[in-house]
Formats: sequence, C-alpha cells, structure tokens
Amino acid sequence: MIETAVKVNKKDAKLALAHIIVAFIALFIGGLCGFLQVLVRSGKVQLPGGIGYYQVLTAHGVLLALVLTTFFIIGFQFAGMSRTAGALSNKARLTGWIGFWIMTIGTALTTFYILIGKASVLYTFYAPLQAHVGFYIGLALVVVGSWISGFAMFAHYARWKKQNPGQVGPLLSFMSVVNMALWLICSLGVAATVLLQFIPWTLGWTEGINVLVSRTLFWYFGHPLVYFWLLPAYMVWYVVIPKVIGGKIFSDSLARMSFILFLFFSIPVGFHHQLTEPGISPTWKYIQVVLTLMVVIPSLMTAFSMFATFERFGRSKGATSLFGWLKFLPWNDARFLVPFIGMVAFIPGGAGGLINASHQLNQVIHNTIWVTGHFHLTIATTVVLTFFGAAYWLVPHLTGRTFTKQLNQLAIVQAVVWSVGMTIMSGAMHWVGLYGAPRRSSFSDYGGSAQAADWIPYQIAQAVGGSMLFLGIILVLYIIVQLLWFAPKGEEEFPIGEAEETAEKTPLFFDKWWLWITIVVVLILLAYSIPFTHMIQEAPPGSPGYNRLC
Amino acid sequence: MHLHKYEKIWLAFGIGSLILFLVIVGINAFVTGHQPPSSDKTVDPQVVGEIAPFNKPGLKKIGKNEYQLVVLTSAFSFDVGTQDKVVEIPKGAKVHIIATTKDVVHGFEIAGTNANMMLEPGHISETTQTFREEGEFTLLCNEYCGSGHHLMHAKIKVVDQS
Amino acid sequence: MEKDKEKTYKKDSLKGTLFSVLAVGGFILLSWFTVWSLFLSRI
Ligand code: HEM
Ligand SMILES: [Cu+2]
Ligand SMILES: [Cu+2]
Repeated sequence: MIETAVKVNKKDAKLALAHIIVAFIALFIGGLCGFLQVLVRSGKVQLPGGIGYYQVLTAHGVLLALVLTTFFIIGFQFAGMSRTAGALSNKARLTGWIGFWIMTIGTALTTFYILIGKASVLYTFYAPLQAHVGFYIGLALVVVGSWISGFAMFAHYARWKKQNPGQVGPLLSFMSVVNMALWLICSLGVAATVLLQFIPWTLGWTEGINVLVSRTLFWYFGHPLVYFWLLPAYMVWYVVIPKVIGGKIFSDSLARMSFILFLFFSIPVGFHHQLTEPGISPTWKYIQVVLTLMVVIPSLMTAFSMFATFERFGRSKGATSLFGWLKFLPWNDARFLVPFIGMVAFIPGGAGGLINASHQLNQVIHNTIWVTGHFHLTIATTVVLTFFGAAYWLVPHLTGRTFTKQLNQLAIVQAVVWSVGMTIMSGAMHWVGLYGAPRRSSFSDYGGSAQAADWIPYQIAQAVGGSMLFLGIILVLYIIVQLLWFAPKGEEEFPIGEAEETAEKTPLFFDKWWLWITIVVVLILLAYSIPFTHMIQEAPPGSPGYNRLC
Repeated sequence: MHLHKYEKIWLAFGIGSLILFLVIVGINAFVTGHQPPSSDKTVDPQVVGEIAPFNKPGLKKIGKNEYQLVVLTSAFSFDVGTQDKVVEIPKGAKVHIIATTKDVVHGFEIAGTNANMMLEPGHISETTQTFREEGEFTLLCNEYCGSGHHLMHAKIKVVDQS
Repeated sequence: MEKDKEKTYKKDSLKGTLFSVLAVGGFILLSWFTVWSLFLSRI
C-alpha cells in the first residue's frame, strides 16, 4: 500500500478534533440520561422537577445514536483520509468545516427543543406524534451537514485517484467513501420524510400525514444507519488492529469486497423493522428478510479475517498449538484490547440480530426490552468500544500528545467496567424481554400484573449494570480530556496496517463506483417499489398531529 | 479473488445456516400459515369507533372454541369492551384478534404469547392466538405513544370452564 | 494420552481460525433455535 502521509495534516487534525469533541460531549449528556433511565425503571427513583422519562429517553437516543456516532465517524474518517490519501485541499477542508457547523447548529437546535420538553417523541419520532418544528429542522440540518462533509470526502478521494492514475485508492479512504455513499443513499429517505412530510405537516401546510409511508421512509434509513455506525468499527478492525498487534492485514481485497457487499445489502432491508406492521404484504416482508440475511455474509467474512489476522500473527511469533496464537496478542495494549472486547460483543449481538430479523420470529421480541439489550451490545459495546479504542491513539495523534502507560491502564479498567456492566444490563434486558417486558417504557406495575412483578428484579439488575456503565463513561471522558489537553506532549502513531507480502494485488475494479451505485439502486427499487406504491395508493386518510408528550 | 480453503468451509457453513433459517421460517409462514401480522385492511381513524366491528369492542364467540376479540385503542387505553378491562377467555380457545387505533401508533402485546403487533392509525391489525394455558396475561402497549404510554394495559384471563 | 497433547501446526495454518469461527457459528445456531422453540411453544 502506498503511504501518503504518516501524520494527519495539522489543519485537518483540527477539523477531526472538533467533531470528536462534540461526540464526547454528546456521550456525557446521553450517558447521564441512560443512568437516569435505569434508575427510573428500577422503580426506586423518580425524576425531579417535572423532567419526563420520555424526554430523557429522547435525549439519550438522539445524542447517542445520532449525534455521538455521526460526529465521531465523520471526524475519524476525515482524519483517516488525511492520513492515507494526503492532506485535504483547502476547499475540501473548508467544506468539511461548513458541514461541521451545520451539523452542530442542527444538534443544538434539536437538543434545545428536547430539553424544553417540546420534542419528547423519541429518536425515531414516529408520526402522528408531533414535536416542535425546530426538532425536525435541527435533524434536517444534521443530515444536510453530514452530506456536505461526505461530498468533501468524495472530492478528496477523486483527487487522489486523479493524482495516482491506475492505482486502487488507499484502503481506509476507500472504506470511508463506501460508508459515506451508504449514508448519502440511505439518509435521502429520512430527509424525504422530514422535509416533505413532517415539516409541512407540523407547520400546518398539510393536514394529515401518511403514517405508514413516514415509517417506511424512516426504516429505509434506519437499518443502513446501523451499518453506517458499524463500518467505521470494521475499518478499525481491518486496517488499524493488524498494525497495532504487529501483524498484517489478512486480505485487502476481501476487506473491500465485504464493504461493497455492505453497500449492496444494508439498504433494501428496512422492512425487518416493520415485520409486525399492517399494510405491508408478508411476501414483501419475507423478500426483505432474505436480503437482510445476505448482509450477514460480509460479517461472516469479517469474522474469519479477524481470527486469521490474529492466528497468522501468533504463528509468526512461534505459536504451535491449536489456540496458542492467542497468547501472543497484546492483551495489555488498550488500543487492541478495547476494540477486541467490541468484537467479542458482536458475537451475541449478531446472533440476536439474526433472531430479530427472522420474519415471524420477530413477534417474540418485537418492542420488548430484548431489542434494547441487543443494540446495547452492537452499538453501545461493539461500535462504541471500538471508537473508544480508536480515540486512544487518534486523539493524541491529533493533539500531539501521548497515550501514557497510566492512561493505558485506566483504559483497560474502563473496558472491564464496561464489559461487566453491559453483561449485566444487556443480559437482564435480553432475558426479561423474552418474557415480554416492553422497551421504551417508564416504570409501571401494569395494574398489579403478576407478570410485570416478575420483571422488576431484572429491572434492578439493569440499574446495577447501567450504573457501572455510567462509571465507565466518566472514566473514558477523563481519559479523553487528558488526551485532549493534559497528557505529555509527544508523537502518537496513527496505525495503518499493510497487507501480507504474499497477498495478491488488489484488483482495480473495486473503484467502479457507478457500477456499485447502479446495483444499489436496482436492489432498492426491487425491494421497495411495489410495496411502497401500494402504501401510497391504498392510503387511509392522513393523521393530524398529537402532542400529549413528556 | 482468492479465498482460503477454510474460509470457503466457513462461508459454506454460514450461508448454509442462513438458508436453513430462511427455509424454516418460510415453511412456517407460507405453508403452515404463521405469517407475521400483516393485515391489509384500512379504515378512517377519525370515525372508526362508529364502524363495525370497532363500534362494539370485546370478545365474541364465532365457532366452537373459536372467538373474535375486537380491541380499539387510544391514548392511553385499550378498549376491550369491559369496564374493568379484563377479558375472560376459555382455556384452549383460538382467538382471532382484530385491533386498531383512533389516534397515534400503539403496540399490541399480550406478554408471554406470540400476539405482538403494531397498531397504526388507518390500518387494521390482525393476528390469531390460541390460549392453551390457564392464567392471567397482561395486554400492554409496547410502542411509545405519549406521556401515559406505560399506563396503557388490560388483562386477559384464561379460565378453565370444563 | 500424552502423545496427542502437543500436536503442532505450521506457520501458515489457519486451523485455530476455522475452529474459532465454527464455534461462533455453533453459538448462533444454538441461540436461534432456542428462540425459535420459544416461538413454537407459544403458537
Ligand atoms: C451509561 C450508559 C448507558 C445506559 C445506562 C443506557 C441505558 C438505556 C436504557 C435503560 C434504555 C432503554 C430505555 C427504555 O426503552 O425505556 C436505553 C435506550 C437506548 N440506548 Fe442506551 N444506555 C447507555 C449507553 C448507550 C450508548 C453508549 C448508546 C449508543 C451509542 C445507547 C443507545 C441507546 C439507544 C439508541 C436507545 C433507544 C432509545 C429509544 O428506544 O428511543 N445507549 N439505554
Ligand atoms: Cu435493522
Ligand atoms: Cu403506548
């Protein structure tokens, strides 16, 4: 692989850091909300001063699932592209800053309306619940800002290709472009529902809203959204981790192949979030279930690549027994261990996802707290721990400081606290979800129901695990603050792995972007056009807005 | 592009498992008839309370040990046709549930059973559930519908009448 | 008993990887069928 720059350009570093700082502020406020939620759900604590449970839950979902992730990802990708494809042009950097400010203003606007209690509609904002129009405008700004940054990344990649004719783009940059393409295509759906349905309806320009259409557009976006979170974690696993452990990338081509498969199959699958909804034919649901299971294949490939990287490395160090290579991995290095725990969490996370998406099997767990347990493994452990593990070298690399031994030890403690807390919280959620305990619900005894009484011990367990997680958030914030402003000055490496020498050359056809986009569009049309047309043609009267929220 | 021999084995195993899952749920859905709730009927949510069968919510006998349960929801209650929001169902009864909402989206879940579906304004939702075991089951709303969401519930009592 | 204890693997062997991913696959199958049987028991 061609190394363009060993260090991220100083000006690009500022841009990346600005994103990362907003992300960690969101982590703090959102984490505090999560802590309040588990306390309320235990039945032992009530929120003071007219704060609503659903207000807190809206803030938690928006700040963690939308703000933390999007900001961290864009910051990480700008840094990664500057590192692997060279410093951004002034124009691209300026575009990135414009994107950043639009996203930040949008975030502030949306958060403001949540905090004043005018937008307790949860982060999915299902119609016909109606929030203040400022909530939707803020969200639209976040999306538009992210598009602008995406265009800066596309332009940067195109410039590299022009300057290096006949060569495949650097792996990390290639992956960032795939992720932004995925994001752009899927967020058209949420932009459409917000701009064409919610905002006019909230302002009273249109009378009713087509609920099923709005939900379908939301989930057309909502599933690829989770891959938009996951792919940067995979970037770290594929590109960074091999270098951190001192090994090699198992296969550059396979890594690209799996990213292209994600681009294909993560979008035309939104119905697996709507499996128990009326108005969608079960045959179309099943077709999207089939496509959903296709998207498992690149994850299977990733699992193999990771183990293979580890085994090859251990064997090169002299491991001879079946699992002896495990001993050679750098367990004391937080840059490895923290994302590694994330990988492990993806095993139950992935298994749970398969269950969720299996057509009628969804009836067992739909909207139970099992689902919450599931995505606290996938996003709040796999993705988030990988991001933490990346921040431990990325932030000091960008600030010109070092990740000291003490901070490394603290980071390991943090990851252990997180793992234990999450095992308790997510485990309790999964288990009690199978008994039917609902998600998105404040504490309730359901009219003295015996079933609901059986759920309470699990809710207390969630509070115990959730409190540990909050401690974990304090620890990671302490480390990040140190790395931003106080850790000793020095140089921290931005690790970029190289492919094995014996690996074959990566073929050029991976850069056939228009072909990939065409395939994506065809798949989307196949999966959606007929059922979506049906929703519009057979629509019941539109719904007025309701706002008995809190 | 070259795949390692073991990776081929792994992918064959993995893809084989995925196909197995799809075949199992596919047969269960298309042959045995256990599709997820996907009713295609629509209704005007503003006046649904005046339209049959939603003008008379509750349990109706429609055959030998076969019943229809009509439920009309609104923020924040389940109208199951009784004052105390308790529905008594004979043990072993097969119940065809038909439900919808007058206002926002609600969830319809009978905890501990497979009866779990979304209710959306303008759309009718249907599912069938056989109650083989005696006992009390909680009917609750599992989709956020506003400030009183967690207070929205009713009770299904499965009673042995023999 | 002693003789199969220390089977050694070549430098480029990926046997450990194969067993690891198959264990992952086994876990997935187990979880899926557990919930599937719960679904069937509630039909
Ligand atoms: C202190 C750590 C955390 C705790 C204690 C916590 C706790 C919770 C709880 C109890 C719920 C469910 C509430 C309900 O359904 O009534 C929830 C929902 C959620 N959490 Fe967390 N969480 C934490 C961290 C995170 C992180 C780091 C993320 C993502 C990056 C995250 C993403 C979400 C999302 C997306 C929801 C769904 C919100 C909704 O249903 O509208 N959480 N969290
Ligand atoms: Cu999904
Ligand atoms: Cu509700």
